[in-house]
Amino acid sequence: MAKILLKFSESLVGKPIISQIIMKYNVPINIITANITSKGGEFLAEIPDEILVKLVKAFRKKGLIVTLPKLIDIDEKECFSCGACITICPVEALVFDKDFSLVFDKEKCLGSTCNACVDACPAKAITSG
Amino acid sequence: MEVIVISSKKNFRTVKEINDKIRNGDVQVLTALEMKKLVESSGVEVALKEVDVVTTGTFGAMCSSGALINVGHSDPPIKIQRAWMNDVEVSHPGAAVDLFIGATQMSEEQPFEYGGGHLIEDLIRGKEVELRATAYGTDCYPRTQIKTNLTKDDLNQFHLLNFRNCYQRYVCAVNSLDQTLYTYMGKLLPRFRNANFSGAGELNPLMNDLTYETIGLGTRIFLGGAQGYVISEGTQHDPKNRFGTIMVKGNCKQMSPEFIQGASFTNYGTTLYVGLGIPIPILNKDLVKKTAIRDEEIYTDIVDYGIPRRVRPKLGKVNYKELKSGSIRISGKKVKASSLSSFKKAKQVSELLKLWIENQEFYLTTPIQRLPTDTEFKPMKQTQETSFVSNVMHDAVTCTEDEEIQTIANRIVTKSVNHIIVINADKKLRGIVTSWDITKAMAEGKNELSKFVTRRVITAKPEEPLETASRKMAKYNISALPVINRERKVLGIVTAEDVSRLLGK
Repeated sequence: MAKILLKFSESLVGKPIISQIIMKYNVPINIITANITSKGGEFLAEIPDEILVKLVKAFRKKGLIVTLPKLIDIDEKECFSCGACITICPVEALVFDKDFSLVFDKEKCLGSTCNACVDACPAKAITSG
Repeated sequence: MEVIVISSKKNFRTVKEINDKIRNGDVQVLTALEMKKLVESSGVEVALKEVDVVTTGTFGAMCSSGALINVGHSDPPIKIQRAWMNDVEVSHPGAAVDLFIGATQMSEEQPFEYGGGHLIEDLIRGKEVELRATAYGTDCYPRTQIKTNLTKDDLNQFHLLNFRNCYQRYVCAVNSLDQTLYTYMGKLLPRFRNANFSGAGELNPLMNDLTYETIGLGTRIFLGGAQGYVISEGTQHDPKNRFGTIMVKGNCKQMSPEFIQGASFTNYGTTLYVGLGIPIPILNKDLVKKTAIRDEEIYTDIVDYGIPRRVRPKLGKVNYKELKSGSIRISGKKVKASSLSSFKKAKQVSELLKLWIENQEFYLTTPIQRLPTDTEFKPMKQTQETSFVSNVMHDAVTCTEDEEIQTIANRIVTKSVNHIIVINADKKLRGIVTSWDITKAMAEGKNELSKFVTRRVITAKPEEPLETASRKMAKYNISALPVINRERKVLGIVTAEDVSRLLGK
């Protein structure tokens, strides 16, 4: 599965674009996070790899801005592996290894749609996605 | 000063013998983690014979830390009255040019981002910092202001002087409220969604010598990557409740930024992470047993930081083994737990200290006075009464959801209030409407309360300090809070006028 970030402008909010795409391509789309108001918004979706290119084109044709989600970035020089971010992360992208060193799993990170760990870091070693 | 003998019972070995072994290169040192394994596998007798020293370590946020510096005299001289280094105000505790950098003092330009802790780290790193000072001027110190750039090499003394470090253990913090809290115990998610703890548990220096048999004034320690000393019990030392602390001192010029790091907790402020380790000489069997302590034997309280009082509600006990496992149970429910201190760094401290002793770079000392074991940590004596919500709350004007808008509007007029609290038959909170909401609804021809009632109501509890209620109103830009109990029954209302009448704001 691949993660893509889809951005809606105000004019597109009222249209059932995701439903249309799901029905047209008969594909399961997993919406991980969504933040949409009447002014527009964005959502993070998981899409099967084999149909990714096709769907990105389809979404773009409908007027959505499709990008890869920008992930958080951890400055390894600043991080001292306290673990303050671990319980904050909703998807367990931040965990300890056996030696209590912090490990960041990029595959799981929700990036700019979440950013919950950023203000929990006392070392200020995490940059927003 | 009276010399206190470490222990009256005959010891298996002395500190002097240990130091001789260090000198001869045949000292046996284990980290506290290694010691526990040895005692478990081979027993107390074997460990007593084989091990001379056990090294401990911790690396955590230690807010009551700071550095005493002497910047030398300028020409003409200045008797500094107020001073700032990198925009962090440093206090002036001495004659003319002695300054104290407090770890939690924040930069005036970048508060919550840069503070005393970062300043100390920057100086240790060898960075140049800006000193700005003002004075009133005297006959002997005529200068009234100065600005200069300094590095640690320009300072006469640069001593870390931490008046409370190395808490033996600390509480586990959770949050019962509906909103996220930002505390010195980190980011606490609403409704018990996480638990934060601090401390190295079985590796903590004071935990490995519970009665402070070998720790006291003059104990040489690992401090910030250099050798430092214990100079007293720390402030708030509370040995009877196993919340012992130490006051320590060390030369910052020899320290390493790897073990002294400035940090900041969002919306709380800045602090200093300190790496600290104490070598425990294994003088007798008791010390073998003490250093064999395990995480599962070290318990601490789970405390609700949702209640901003000195005595916060305790929700149960938990041990460090459970805490370090990554999740604990609160009333049967699994809650993710994580640490604010670094166990990885704590291990590094204990390993480095072990290496120093093995390499004849560190010799043990006998304290000339042990840490007290009987002192108490008293709360503040308060000579002025504190106000709580219960002191100012009054009866709320209420309505139920089935009432006519017109009836509610009449009630607002006759009772002359701005807020009507919506309740159900059990008097439980269902929502709130203001006189503005009613006016607007009538103007728009809406006649059902459910169409415009505010459901997400910010509330207060009667035992809440009035200051907290006031902060809430300011934060959400509202002028009243319904006061409810644990069952969400409405007990009354507190308004911004009530608060300003009492607090004079």
